Amino acid sequence: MKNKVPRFVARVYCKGCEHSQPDAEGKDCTYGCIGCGGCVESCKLHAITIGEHGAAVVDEKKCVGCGLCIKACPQDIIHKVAADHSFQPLCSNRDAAAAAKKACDNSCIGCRICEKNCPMGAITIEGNHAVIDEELCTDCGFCLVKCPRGVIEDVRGLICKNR
Amino acid sequence: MIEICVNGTEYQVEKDQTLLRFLRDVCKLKSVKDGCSEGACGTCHVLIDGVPQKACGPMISMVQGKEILTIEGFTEREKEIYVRAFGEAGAVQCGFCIPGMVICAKGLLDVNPKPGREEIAWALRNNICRCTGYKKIFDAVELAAKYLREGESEESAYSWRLGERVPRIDVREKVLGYGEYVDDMEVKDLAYGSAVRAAHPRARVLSIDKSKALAMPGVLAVITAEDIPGTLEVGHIVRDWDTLIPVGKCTRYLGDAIAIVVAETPELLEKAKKLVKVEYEVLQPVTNPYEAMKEDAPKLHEKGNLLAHKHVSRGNAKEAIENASHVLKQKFATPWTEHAFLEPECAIAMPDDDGVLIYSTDQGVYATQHECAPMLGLPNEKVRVINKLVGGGFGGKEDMTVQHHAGLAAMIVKRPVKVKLTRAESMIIHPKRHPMDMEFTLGCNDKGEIQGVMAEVIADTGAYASLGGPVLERACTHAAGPYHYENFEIDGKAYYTNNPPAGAFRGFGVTQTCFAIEMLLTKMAEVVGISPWEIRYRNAIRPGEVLPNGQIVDNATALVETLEAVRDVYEAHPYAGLACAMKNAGVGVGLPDYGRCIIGVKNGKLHIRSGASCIGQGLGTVLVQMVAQTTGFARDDMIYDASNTIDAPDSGTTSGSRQTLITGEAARRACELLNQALESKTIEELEGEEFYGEYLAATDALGADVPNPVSHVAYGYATQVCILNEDGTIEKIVAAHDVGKAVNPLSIEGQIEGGVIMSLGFALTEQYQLEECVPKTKYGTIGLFRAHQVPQVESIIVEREGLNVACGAKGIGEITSIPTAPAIAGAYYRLNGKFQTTLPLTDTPYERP
Ligand code: FES
Ligand code: FES
Repeated sequence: MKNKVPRFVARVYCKGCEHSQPDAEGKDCTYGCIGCGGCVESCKLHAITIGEHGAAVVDEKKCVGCGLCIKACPQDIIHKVAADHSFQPLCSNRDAAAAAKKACDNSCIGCRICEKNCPMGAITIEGNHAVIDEELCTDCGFCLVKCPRGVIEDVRGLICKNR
Repeated sequence: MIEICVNGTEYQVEKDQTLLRFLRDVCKLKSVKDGCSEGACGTCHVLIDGVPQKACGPMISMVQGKEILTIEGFTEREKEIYVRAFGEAGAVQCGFCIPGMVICAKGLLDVNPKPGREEIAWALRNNICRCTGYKKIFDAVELAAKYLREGESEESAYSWRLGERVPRIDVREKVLGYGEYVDDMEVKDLAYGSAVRAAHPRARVLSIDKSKALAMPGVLAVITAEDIPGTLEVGHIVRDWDTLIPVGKCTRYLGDAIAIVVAETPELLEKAKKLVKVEYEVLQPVTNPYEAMKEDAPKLHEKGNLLAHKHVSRGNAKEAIENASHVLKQKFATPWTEHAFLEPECAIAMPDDDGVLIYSTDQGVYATQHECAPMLGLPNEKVRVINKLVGGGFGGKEDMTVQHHAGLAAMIVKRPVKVKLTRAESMIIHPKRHPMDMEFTLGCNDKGEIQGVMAEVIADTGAYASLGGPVLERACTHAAGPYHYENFEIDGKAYYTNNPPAGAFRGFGVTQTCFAIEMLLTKMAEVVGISPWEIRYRNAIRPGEVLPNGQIVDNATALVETLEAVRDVYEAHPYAGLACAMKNAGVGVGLPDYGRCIIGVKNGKLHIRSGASCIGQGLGTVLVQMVAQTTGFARDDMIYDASNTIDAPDSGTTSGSRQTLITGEAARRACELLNQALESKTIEELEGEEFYGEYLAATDALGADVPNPVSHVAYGYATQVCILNEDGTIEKIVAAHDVGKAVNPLSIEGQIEGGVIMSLGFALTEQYQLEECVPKTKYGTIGLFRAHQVPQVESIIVEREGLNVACGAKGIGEITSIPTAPAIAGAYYRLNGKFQTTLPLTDTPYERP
């Protein structure tokens, strides 16, 4: 059954990483945010900035979910989600675990621990990264608590693993 | 060191643990309920920096530096407002979900002082309520918002007489969360017990090695079958349920207990359970009744696999059908259903003189006593049972799940012991609703008048009898529907399998057969060329007429009025479906069915004492209103005591929609005695006296050799209509219920709304999947309706005089859930032309992909 959602926002499914540009260790991710700034420019409300890890970040308080940034993103990693959907895997990796691990410190490696711990059966691994069905999700946060890679974030900033 | 602020108090703690455990165990904040500890139910909501969040997931280290608020930390004004609002709106039933709801309500109202209905529903979307159907909770939040914005209105002066929409007597403790469920009790010197469960649904236990577990420090005992002082088995009606499976015997389902481990702490307990080594010879399980009925099937119980066979026959159905102008024959099937009450099973038992005292959450303290005493090798009176608040039952708490284990463990370790099921255990262990396969044949004449019905029912009763026999019997006796015709024959069989036991579930078998007969009637209307409403109206039972079971119905019979009440709304909508139902109030069929109540005068107040469980339906409020009505005493002069076996007389199990009528009448009789005494004495002069009311609801046995047997003292009747939008979503359900005299219309609406939404799940979304007898469904994946998904429910209460007991009030608990599924299926039939015969329905917007 489709949820009648009060408010949508745009969300960037990548946390960024100090190593997201190829570096001395050769770490590189081709799926994540490349920091091109296309979304930043597209946003009429100035709700998007490039964050400290080099990935775009949406200020969800300002965002109205118009979707312009989604169109502007060359990587296709910005998605429209319910603003109240609190726990989000912030990764769009498509590589298998070993490569994903190498490419980024914050990558989802498809280990399925979140899937197993989700009481609602709302999480699946699609294209090697976790995807939450927001209609089934009830915002318990078990996925964040159990994620060994710190990929899943509480977008409200209430629950944080490395506090 | 972790720093965290809770309700304004700063805590610095070493040990990291979940926020829920920290709040309950360290801060002793018991309003934060543990309904699942797996993130699925929402009872554990707290505010973190003002935002609602479930507390069972995050560790306290992850919310360091944040401010946590629970209801205990609300301002006095907020507390008063939520109590008033939830009480006046009738939003509280069992109460277990309520603190979580209040938290989410505050989270919303703090940022949105005037929310609309949809915003309220959205804010509560992560909180499950199994009792109320959410509607009255939305009302409560709206009312709380109004009081917060505009100040409270003057509180109404209630007379507490019958018919008044009074707030329930237990609202305050349930809204503020200080009311005690068993799990909330603080008991000195408490040890923790839990059973090691069967690893296979059917396997012979070859050996149990407890040595490693016993050697672990902090482990007090590992109890196995040979430690049981009395009989091995317990059981509600048939004593066929092994307390623990002894070496040499076979497990019958995955919920079977092999050994009970008792330890100093829950953590040690979990570790120790893993150290108990059980060897099995794994055997092929019997997965369904068709396997169970085979001649070469393994015998799961000594007497064989057929638990019950019921044959009900009056007139000559076969001949009547042969001579009918229209005949329809169809197979139907309904699935397993999980009760999904919000409070998991929990009991605390402690040594008590030379017996044992059990604090329980169950549907009958005397049932618990009678089941446990022989097993514990004690006379009944040495097993004392006290009900704490019961966080929902719906039939699922009629059996022994933890009470007997707690009692046994307490006797053996000579200390108080708590046994609590995890949600995952609860899903496996307690009895479910029977899945039934049914074949019905219906014959009608050209006018659509029923000539005869024949039916066959096969039920899977799972591993143990539980209430399987009576459930099958009610399924059969009520399969005829609330109609006047004479030729009816049904044959029903319930077989043991290695699935979880099936037992009582709101509707008690009638939910299943009602689906079949009502669907056939809907189809028959089409064949005959009249409307589904008309065919029911023509056949509906009217006062003085004879039901297919031979009973002449009384003047309180108002099925026709319920049909008339929904006629306009039914006819105004193109995609509307409807169904009728009847449901007995009281056990009936010649069984001794006693209501008992004592009214004691103590310190000038009337103490109402009855050994009858309130499982959320509001029995205490019903009794208070009955006493107020009959004696004229004020509410403040009455005290309702929780059900117990110590000073409250046995008033039977909360089952069969019986408490309002049966215990209500007992209370009324006690009041009459009091009234007589008051003619010559003042209440002060009656200090210390007790007035005992008893009522035997006398009925005739099934098949009794009388022309018109009275099977039940009363029946409730109902008609429900489902209205669909063009897109297939449900616009609303209109439910008209015949209740005799409405004791508290607010509570009745709550029962109707809750029952309807429960069966919305049964009809559309709910599953309880079993693979080779292994349950695969978690609490979160049952498909329970969530707050933002429920359609409107409109209750129509039809009152009618004629019942000469209990001030004319009939029970309403079960029937609210009975006609819903066929009404919904009928509506979809009109929308898409697909005549569906199994549940849950397919091709609806509610179907889970
Ligand atoms: S106890 Fe936390 S969601 Fe059920
Ligand atoms: S009142 Fe909500 S679950 Fe019982």
